[in-house]
Amino acid sequence: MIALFKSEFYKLRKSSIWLLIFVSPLLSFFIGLLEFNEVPQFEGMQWVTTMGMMAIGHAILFLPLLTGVFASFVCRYEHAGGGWKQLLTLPVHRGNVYVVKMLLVALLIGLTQLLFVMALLVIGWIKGFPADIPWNVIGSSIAGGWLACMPLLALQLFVSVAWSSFAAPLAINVIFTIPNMLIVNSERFGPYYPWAQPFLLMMPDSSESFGALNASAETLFIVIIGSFAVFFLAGLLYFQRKEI
Amino acid sequence: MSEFIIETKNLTKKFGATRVVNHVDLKVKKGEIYGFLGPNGAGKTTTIRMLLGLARPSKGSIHMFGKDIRKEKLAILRKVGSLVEYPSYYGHLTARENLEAVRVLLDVPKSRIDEVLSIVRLTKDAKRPVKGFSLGMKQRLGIATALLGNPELLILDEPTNGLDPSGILEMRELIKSMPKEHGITIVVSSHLLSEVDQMATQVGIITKGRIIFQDSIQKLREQASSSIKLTVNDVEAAWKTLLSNGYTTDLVQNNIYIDRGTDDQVAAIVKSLVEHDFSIYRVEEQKKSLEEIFLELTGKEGGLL
Repeated sequence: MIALFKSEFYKLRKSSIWLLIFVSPLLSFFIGLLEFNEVPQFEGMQWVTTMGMMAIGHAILFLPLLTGVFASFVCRYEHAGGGWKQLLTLPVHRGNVYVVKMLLVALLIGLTQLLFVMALLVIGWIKGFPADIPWNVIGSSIAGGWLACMPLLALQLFVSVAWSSFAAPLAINVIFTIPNMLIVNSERFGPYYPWAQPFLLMMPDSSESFGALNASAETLFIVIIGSFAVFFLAGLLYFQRKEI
Repeated sequence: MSEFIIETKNLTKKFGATRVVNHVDLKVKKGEIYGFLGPNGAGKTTTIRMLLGLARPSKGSIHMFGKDIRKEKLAILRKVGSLVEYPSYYGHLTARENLEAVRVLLDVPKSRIDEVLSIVRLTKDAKRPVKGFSLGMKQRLGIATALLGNPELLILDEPTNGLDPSGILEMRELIKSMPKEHGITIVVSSHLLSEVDQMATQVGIITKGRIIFQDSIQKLREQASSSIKLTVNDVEAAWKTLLSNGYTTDLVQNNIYIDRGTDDQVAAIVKSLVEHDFSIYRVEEQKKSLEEIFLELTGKEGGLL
């Protein structure tokens, strides 16, 4: 499994796709930088409000899209040159291959999240935010956003493994990501929509509250863990039985 | 332990209702070059995919190195190098990086990469991205990848597909040298008899999913039975004379053919013709070519040559 991870990491490192982890944190950085939310009642809460602003574009749009792109990409170079054939005739467990691919994408999303925090810290330093950084809120928001990407990741990896086309899984992803802006407003559907979950978990509690953001953390966690388990097991089972 | 490196029993693969591979019993001995021969769509690739665990048999068993593939797949795959249909590669990596990505999984020393690169003569191009390679070079890289793990068994599916004549020659020499130099057993599939004829020691012929011949290449050649062709002045009369003298011969296109005649029989027939004052212009031996046997075995519709 470690060898497999090394091999996969090697293939990924030599491609340029990992550069995409910089895109969203960079854009969020500018959004955060240009944001002057001088509302008196938020005095002393600049960290959280700024992060809330930055998270809107990042979590509604970029996190779901990036998850799909990365998932497609770790399968793309296998589909393109007959890599599956070669990889699966080597002494490796199919299950491990699948899990390693998923870990790799999770790692990339994780790095994106870390860069996002760094962007926030730089903004705070430039603008002179209070010295007591609310690590609790930031930490849980970042980790929550990452965690909420997992069901989506499992789903996208499933689709990407099944279809040899690179564009089709991406198209699906875009189609389902666009309505996000509407769905996060829905209290009924929002929590169950995999593409909306990153946003719901990433928004800090205190800044704003509307629509599906009112859903309790427990509901979200159950939905996320539940749907992750379903998508992951379905994908894994499919991959293990797939005839190459 | 059986003496066979590969032994399948009743191996069957169904796609829907059609049996693409139908009760195939492959037997490959150690050190052989096994030519797996059949027209396009006969079930060669499907059989090979099952041997490599890429596809699941609908019925039947596969034993390799005396192990059941369902139980010890990884142990088997560790000893097998393969190239299935088209070469597999990662286009964004160079030849060396491609091999490195596989090497990590096989846990062989880094020096092995240089060895296999020099075996397939890609050392010069090792630093180029593979997407710029010609098909022949990709094919050679595929062979290099297959050799990387010091396999005991090499399974090559149509390794000369898409190669130019010099590439084919090179590939053939490479394949022929393996059992001698490294003691590797090789299964090589092809739809070209001439190709198999030039390198294989054992032949298995498959058509419509069934094995119709499996033996040494010599046995196949022996089936190339000879007949004697006689060219005489008055064929019709000569044939009748022979028949009335008790010699059964075939009359085909103004020639008389003696099938599987012994030397004495031939001599007697010639003598009888001379005695009846026929002019004998030629006495020739006619051998069936391997191609003809192959077409006979597979049925004409294969469209092989």
